[in-house]
Amino acid sequence: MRSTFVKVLDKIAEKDEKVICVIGDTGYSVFEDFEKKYKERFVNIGIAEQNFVSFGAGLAAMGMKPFIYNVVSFMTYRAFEQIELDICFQENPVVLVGVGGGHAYGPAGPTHHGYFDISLMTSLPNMTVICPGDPIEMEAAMYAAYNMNSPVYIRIGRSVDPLVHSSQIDFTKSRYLEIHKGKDVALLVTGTMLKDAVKIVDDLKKSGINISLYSVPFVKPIDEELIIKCSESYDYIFTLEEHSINGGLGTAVGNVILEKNLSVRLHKFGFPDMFAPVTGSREYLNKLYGIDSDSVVNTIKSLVYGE
Amino acid sequence: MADNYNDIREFATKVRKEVAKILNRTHDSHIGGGYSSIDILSVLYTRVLNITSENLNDPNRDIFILSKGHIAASLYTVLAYKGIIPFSDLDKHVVDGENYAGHSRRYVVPGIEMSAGSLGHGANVGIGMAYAKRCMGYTGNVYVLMGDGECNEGTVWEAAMCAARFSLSNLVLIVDRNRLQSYGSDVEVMNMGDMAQKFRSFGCNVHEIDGHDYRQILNSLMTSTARMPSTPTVIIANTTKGKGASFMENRLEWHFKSPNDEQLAIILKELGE
Repeated sequence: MRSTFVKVLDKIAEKDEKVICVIGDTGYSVFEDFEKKYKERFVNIGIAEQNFVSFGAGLAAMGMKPFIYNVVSFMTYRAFEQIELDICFQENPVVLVGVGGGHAYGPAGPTHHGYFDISLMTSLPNMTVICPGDPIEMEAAMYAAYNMNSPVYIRIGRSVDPLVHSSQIDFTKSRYLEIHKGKDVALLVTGTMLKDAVKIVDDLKKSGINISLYSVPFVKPIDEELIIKCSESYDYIFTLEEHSINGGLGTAVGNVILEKNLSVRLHKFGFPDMFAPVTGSREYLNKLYGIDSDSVVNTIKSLVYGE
Repeated sequence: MADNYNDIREFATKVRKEVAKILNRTHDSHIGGGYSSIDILSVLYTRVLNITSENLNDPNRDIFILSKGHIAASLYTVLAYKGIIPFSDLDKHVVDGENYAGHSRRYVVPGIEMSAGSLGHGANVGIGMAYAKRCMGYTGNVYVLMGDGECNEGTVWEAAMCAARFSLSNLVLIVDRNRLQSYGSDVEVMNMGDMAQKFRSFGCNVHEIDGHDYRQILNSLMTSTARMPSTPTVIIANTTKGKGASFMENRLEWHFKSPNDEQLAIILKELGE
């Protein structure tokens, strides 16, 4: 996803001299060519996240189009007030790209885990939150953010670049993607769990269970029509995300169900309200919290089909 | 002919009088920190900034950021005398349903370049604007006014090191060094000590001046910027909180209090009304 970010930003920056990339001393071996090509339109602001965010806001206030790239946890937690006041409150069109969502930095420990960010970013007025699940969604998210002229948070994982889609996506046509059509159950997935979600659907199919899968990169604004449609077509909605069950996709979907008084059951796959109790890789910790593909398959079988 | 700075003096006096009247009416306080800054604001708006009501969207305009947003009433008054907002708008200060909050808000009030209120944001947004001006080839400088208490915030120092690193010589950080903050004096609270030395050690060019001496304010501002990249400037303006009204000067409580009718009469009398 990081390489997709740089590749697409290069295309955008070539055509628009107002585009500028800001990093917070992260992205070694990713940005060197971009820096060489764009010179002063690439800035490493050092390890100072608050200044990093406000600097980006100042660039946007002067009419530039900054893409600012930093680690999810440091950018969205430490610099939350800067994002709130200098970007969102003042409607400065900054695109924040957060790398390392969920357990991407698993073994590094909870200081580096990023699973409260969607909750924080969706709480801010004027902010759009996009969690692309593969490089094609990432490219579409970048263009969507570039054309929006308002604050956008793009949340990606790290290193994992699984290709799920096979053709280009245009988010101006639809903010979600139907990946598989089944019955009884709709699985709504956002961001880094997309590849796992595809496996879950395939594994269930092998057991003779055919569920639907939707990729929902836009957690804010959430597509209400999709939720309404799902409530009419399915008995159960499952949400899957590499984020706390408080304030992420599951919460956004649940809010629509409550507000629209929809008749459908909801189960949220995500992280419980706790810090990781032990050290572990992304795979280990996701399994510990029951959001790995095997656990999700078993939970769906047991909740919906009584198996 | 020698400059007698009478235009600045008259402007500052008008502003001080009007601010006292506004705060007597609205009880929004922060008059002490307003009065310590008004001479600096007056020099900026009468002699330095190239802005008028006509060029507020011109990327080549000078940018003034009030980072100590709590003295918004003083800035609104300056903008009114500068002809950027209607004078009658001053009646809207902290009035329900209007746009003139106790802390300045961008977009809804013409001439406000940045919404401020939470301290330690202005210098950081300012360096972004100064960098963008450089990058895009725009002229004009960026001026940021901060409080000395505000410099307790770590972000101020992040801005100082960043401005020096990127040689933002189109940026001027002005510190209103009135030595009184919210709960006590500078020395009692955090003791910022030799602030000039601190900013110098971060790589900034520093002028230390009397923040009520128009000649010193003007000279420091006029010599502090450059078109070519070089050292950014910090102006430590030594000031007196409540300057201009004898009973308010150097009194901590005027961070919070607003003049009653009797006090207003004394202020106006001392200012020559």
